[in-house]
Amino acid sequence: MRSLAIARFSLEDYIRSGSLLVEVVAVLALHVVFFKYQADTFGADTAHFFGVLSVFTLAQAVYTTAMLFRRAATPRAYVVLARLAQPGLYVRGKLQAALVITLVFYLGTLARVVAQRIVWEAPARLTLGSGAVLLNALVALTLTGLFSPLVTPRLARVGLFSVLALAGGRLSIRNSLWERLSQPFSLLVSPVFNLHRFAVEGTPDPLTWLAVAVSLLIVVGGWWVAEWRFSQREVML
Amino acid sequence: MTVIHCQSLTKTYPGVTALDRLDLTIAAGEAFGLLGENGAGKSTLVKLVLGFLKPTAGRVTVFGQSPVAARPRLGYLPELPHYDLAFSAHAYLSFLGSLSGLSGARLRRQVDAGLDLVGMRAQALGRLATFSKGMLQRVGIAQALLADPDLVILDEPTAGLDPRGQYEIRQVILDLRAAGKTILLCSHILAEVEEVCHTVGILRRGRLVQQGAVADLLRRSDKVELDVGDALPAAQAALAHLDGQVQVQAGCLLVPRTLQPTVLQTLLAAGIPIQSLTPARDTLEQVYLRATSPTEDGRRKTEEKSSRPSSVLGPPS
Repeated sequence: MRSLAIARFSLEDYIRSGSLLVEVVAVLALHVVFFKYQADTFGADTAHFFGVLSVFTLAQAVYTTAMLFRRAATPRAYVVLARLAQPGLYVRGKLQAALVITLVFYLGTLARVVAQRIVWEAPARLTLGSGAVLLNALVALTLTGLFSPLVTPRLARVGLFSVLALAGGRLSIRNSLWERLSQPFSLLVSPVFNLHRFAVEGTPDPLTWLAVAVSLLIVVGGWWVAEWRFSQREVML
Repeated sequence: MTVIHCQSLTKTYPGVTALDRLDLTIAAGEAFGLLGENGAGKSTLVKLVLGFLKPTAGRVTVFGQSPVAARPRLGYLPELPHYDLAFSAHAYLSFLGSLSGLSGARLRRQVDAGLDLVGMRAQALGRLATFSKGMLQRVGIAQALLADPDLVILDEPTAGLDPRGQYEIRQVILDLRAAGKTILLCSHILAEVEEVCHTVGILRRGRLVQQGAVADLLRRSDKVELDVGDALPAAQAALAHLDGQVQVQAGCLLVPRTLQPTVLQTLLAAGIPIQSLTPARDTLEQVYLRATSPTEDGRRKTEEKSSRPSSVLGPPS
């Protein structure tokens, strides 16, 4: 319950701070450019919708989480943390707030697009596609929170970003040495690419369910590690 | 019952020892004043007691458990008023109260009581961003006392307050003391510490250079105070042969204990009435200045060197 109180307060604080305006403008711009102008001019279908929104929601989840965690890492946190026998709840509250904002924006966009008949597909297709998009966003916000300065020290952050870069690079750079080096790490990001493909195409491949399982594992494990890591850290804000 | 117990508590940052083998015990119901210059280690000690920092060596317990586990029993007023300014005082206190386990009618009651206590009920719905530093300080005190904590840690509680505000907050602290709460008070206002605290500790460069009951520290063993009332000029004339060894302070004679019989005999022989004779007292400021003077540092170092066991064989060459 305390993490929910922190989440609710963080949401109010985020809205009052004006940071949310950036996201509102971005969503409006997305709608105008990709779901109005482009749909009117070239036509749009479900694949187009998920292709755009998958990337946008992921980016938005990263932005929201980064902003929330930046606001969390100020001396204002002292009077909050001085009340928590489980400091990890502070991090959990921030992640929950990021999740709520991501969900609200995604569902709002989906509702608008469906209401305007820009995208009109069977509910099962929209639900599964949305599930994949949101799971990717959840992975993104988990990793953003986990790698935030509030949770992870600078040196460890550099190391973790290097691993992610190595993992992501394997999927785009064709080089045998690179591929061999990055193979163990690519497991971290390949579920994201797989779920993106699933959201766009709507048909699962044999690895899709494994991607779902790995993503869920990253989310559950990531939240746990973030909470544990923060509770072990010294708080110097 | 011990509330705060520090044993050889040491905290170092790269290149700096903020706290050096600190031993400190604060008992339940004690009001402890922590004094020291800027950078002496006061904030580091407070953050260790709150569990924000971890000791480099030694240990600290609060209510016999780890500082983090003890947090629900603590109230904390930070040195600087860093609060969420976009909220009203009432909304902010309600949020903090909910984190302290309060809810429903009890939460509303405690928030109202906290605002009443610091005289901020009328401004309850005002945004913190519009408050003066003094008003924020009052809100800070209200949040620290919200959940009726057993241990209250107050870092400069009267900073930024006008004289009336300082007086009112001192009364709040005295009420807490009377209610048997344990208080850890960090302050640069020595008169405030002298009035409010049972015991004080003076930190200098990470070391506790003086610690004890306020009454003991202020009592001077080497001098007595003689009040002769209106007969002060006559008394001074009668004691002129003592070559200025007897001083005048605040309308009284300050007499070295060794001279006490001589002075009394002289005054009685001169027919000067003595109204009172009491042990002389220092102010906390005098005690503090002595404890933190550079010459005291030199004396402590010499004492430490001489108290180290000498080696029989000496160091290998």
